[in-house]
This record gives sequence, C-alpha cells and structure tokens, in this order.
Amino acid sequence: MSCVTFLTDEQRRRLHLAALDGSPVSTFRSPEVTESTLRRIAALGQDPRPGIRASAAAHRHAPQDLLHLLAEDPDTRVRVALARNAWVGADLLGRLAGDAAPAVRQWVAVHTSTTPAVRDRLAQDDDAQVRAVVAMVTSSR
Amino acid sequence: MTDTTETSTGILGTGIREGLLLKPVTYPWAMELYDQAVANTWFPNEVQLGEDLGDFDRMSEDERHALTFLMSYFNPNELLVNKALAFGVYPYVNAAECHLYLAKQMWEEANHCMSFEYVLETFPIDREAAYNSHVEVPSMAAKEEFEVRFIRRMTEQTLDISTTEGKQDFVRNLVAYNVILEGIWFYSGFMVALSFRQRNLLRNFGSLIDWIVRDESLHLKFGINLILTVLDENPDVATPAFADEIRGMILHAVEMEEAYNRDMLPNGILGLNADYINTYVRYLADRRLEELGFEPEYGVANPAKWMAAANDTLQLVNFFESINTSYEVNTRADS
Repeated sequence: MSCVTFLTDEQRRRLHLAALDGSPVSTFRSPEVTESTLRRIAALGQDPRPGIRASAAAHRHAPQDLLHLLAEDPDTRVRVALARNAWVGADLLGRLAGDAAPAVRQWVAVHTSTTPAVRDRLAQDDDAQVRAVVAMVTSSR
Repeated sequence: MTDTTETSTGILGTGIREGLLLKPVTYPWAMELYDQAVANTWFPNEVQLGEDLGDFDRMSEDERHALTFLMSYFNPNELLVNKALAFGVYPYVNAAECHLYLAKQMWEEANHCMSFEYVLETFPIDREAAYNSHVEVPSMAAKEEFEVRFIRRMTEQTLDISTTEGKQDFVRNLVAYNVILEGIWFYSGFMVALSFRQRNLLRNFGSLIDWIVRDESLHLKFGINLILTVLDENPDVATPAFADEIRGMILHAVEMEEAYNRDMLPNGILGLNADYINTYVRYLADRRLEELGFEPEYGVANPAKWMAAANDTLQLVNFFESINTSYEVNTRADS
C-alpha cells in the first residue's frame, strides 16, 4: 500500500474541508529585489560558463543594460535564453530579430512582446523554420 | 552476497563523519551542478499566471481534464521526490559537494510543489478532485506505489550501505525516483503541459513549466552521475542479474506510464493523444537506458522534437506538422 492510500476517513474529511476553504496555502511572495540581487544577477552575466550567463539572461529581474550586453554573447544558448525571457522588451527583441542564429530568431517570432513590424520582417526570413514559426504564430492569433 | 570493504573514501557512506569538509572537492560535477542550480533560482509568482485565465475559460473539457490530471500527479510527487532524497540518498552519500547539491534540489522540489499550488490557486480547478485523483485513479496510484516501495526500503534499519546488497538498494532507489520518476514520468507530463503553449494557449503556465524543466534537467544529470559514480567505485554492484533487474524496472515503468496516459487523455486533445505521448515515453526510456549503459529497447524516433525547446532549441513547427498528419510520428533523425 502506498502512503497516499493510507488516507483515513478523517483525513479525507479534512481534505474535503480544506478544499472548501478558499484561503491559499501561501502568499506566494518572492524575496524583494534589492541592490544586492541586481549585483548578483550582473555577476552571473559575467560568468565564464555559458550556462550561468544563460541563467542571467533568463532572469526575471535582469537589468536592461545587462540584457543588452548579453544580446552580444558569443554563445547561442545565452542569446536563446534572452529571446525566451518573457520580460524582455520590444526594442531588444527587435535587435535579436537580426541575430545570426535561426534559433534566436524563432524565439523572437513567438515572443508576445514582439511587434507586428518585426514579425513581418521575420516572415521574410532566409531560414524556412523561422518563416514557418511566424506563420504558425500568426495563424493561431 | 558478501560484505565489501569500507566505502568511506568513495561517494557512498554514512555521510555523517565524512561529509563535513568541502575541500578538496572530489566530484567537481556536483559543484558545477550546484553553481548552475543556484544561478537558476526562481520563484513561481514571477510568472503572471493570471494572464492565462482567458485561455483556461476557452479550453475544452478534455483539455481541462488533462491539466487537472497533471496537477494531481505533479503536486504530491514533487514531495515524494524529496522523501526519496531525504530518506534514500542524502543519508548514504559522503561527499559534501553532493550534499550541497541535494539541499538545493530539495528546495527546488518544494518550489515546484508551491508552483503547482499557485496553479491550483489561480485556475478554477476543482482542488478536491485534483487532490483525490492521485489516490483514486489506479494508474496514478500504481506509479506512486512503485516509488514508495523503493523509498521504504531505504528507511529500514537492516539496510547496510557497506554491503553489496545495500549499494544495490541505493541504486534501485535512485533509478526509481531519478531515472524513472524525474527522467521519464515527469518529462512525459512536461510534454503534455507544454503542448498547450505550442497551440498558443497558457503561455505563462508554459513559462512556469520551462523553469521547472530547467531544474529537472539538472536533477537528472546529478542522479545519472551519482549512479555511474557508484557503479564505477563499486564493481561488485553491477552483476548481470542486477543489470537485468534495473532494465526491467525501466521497462515496467514504461508500461505503467502508458496506462496512466490513456487515463489522462481518453479522447485525445488537439495534437495529442495517448499513442503520441506513449511514443515519446518510449523515446525517453531509450535515452535513459543508453545513459545507464544499456542498449535501447524501443528504437522509436522522438515524436515531440519540439520538446528540445525545453533545453535550447525550438521545434514548434514539427509539432504542427504532427497535428496535420494525424499524430504521424516524425521519423527524421533526432536533434
């Protein structure tokens, strides 16, 4: 018997009552973003290991200047992480739309903050996969 | 089987007297994974799930059933992984760098559990139904029962990690929670979860799953490295009979997952049905078998090549090709 199948009638009753209780189990708050948080993310962005820099590029609170710096990173994984970052703005996405790596441009194509003008440009991309992703995104919106 | 020599110089041991000094680092791969895991730190409320509510309202009953089914499975099983780590791994590992990584991993499992709570709080999902189905749906309960069996053995006082039998129990537990639960079953669920985003639905939920997948890929690397290190340092463990048993565990796990996926998607949803997912499960099982040094069993191509997006490339288009060809399996070489 699994530990979960040991649920007694009493435990089931409590589970039922808990389900009726609308209060959340947590406030779901993350720590406040402080200067030291930003310094830590900036340090990650300078790390010699691409995987660590990719983490900085994907970070919710990465400073704009760092994101722009990482847009020039020599490792494609870092720039892909940047293009996948949901909090990256339209201006940086426009820049990434000209990236040499098709994988980066594909992620730009599906990003919700990409402007129609940039997406139109990607619809004419040299890479067939990029064009196909644009077509998919356009047809499903 | 016979007792073997003391293991205090290897990665296995009681982990109390030996694992107190970080330097010299004996297993640099564990430190690398720790550094990466710390860099990856994230919090669920950084994702704006509420923006997906409109999508949720438009989803079909079958799609909502699939999402509820996933939450029902993921939520308790993140905690089950922590039990496997706390009872079955941490106490038997000597290396401080491994303890550091395991501590971070345990926080990540807690963070994932809270992420799924966040999903349950945000979407109008019947929490009671979600909590209950992992107990009441036989295919889901069977998967949990499978895991609990191996964790329980690790808590028995008769287990002696210095013996061949004890080391084999350690490896069995690792294979059960890491290779099977995290490396096959979770990835199968992640594929279904991310399939919504492939159809431009639940994009923020997809981001949440992205972050979880990023953590889980490190968990998998750590577990595989740990298994291979134990086998390398303890040549008495990998007997032919034991190897057969491990392979059999993985194949049995595939059968359980196939039954579970049929319960999750009885009718299929757009672009996905149980056969499609189960082909992916077989593909995953082959990769895990190879990582452990076995020959693959199924020899199938990855039908969900777009899942590579979970790592570093995008394969959105292949997913839509698969829709247009009635779940046709993409037979091109895998990336």
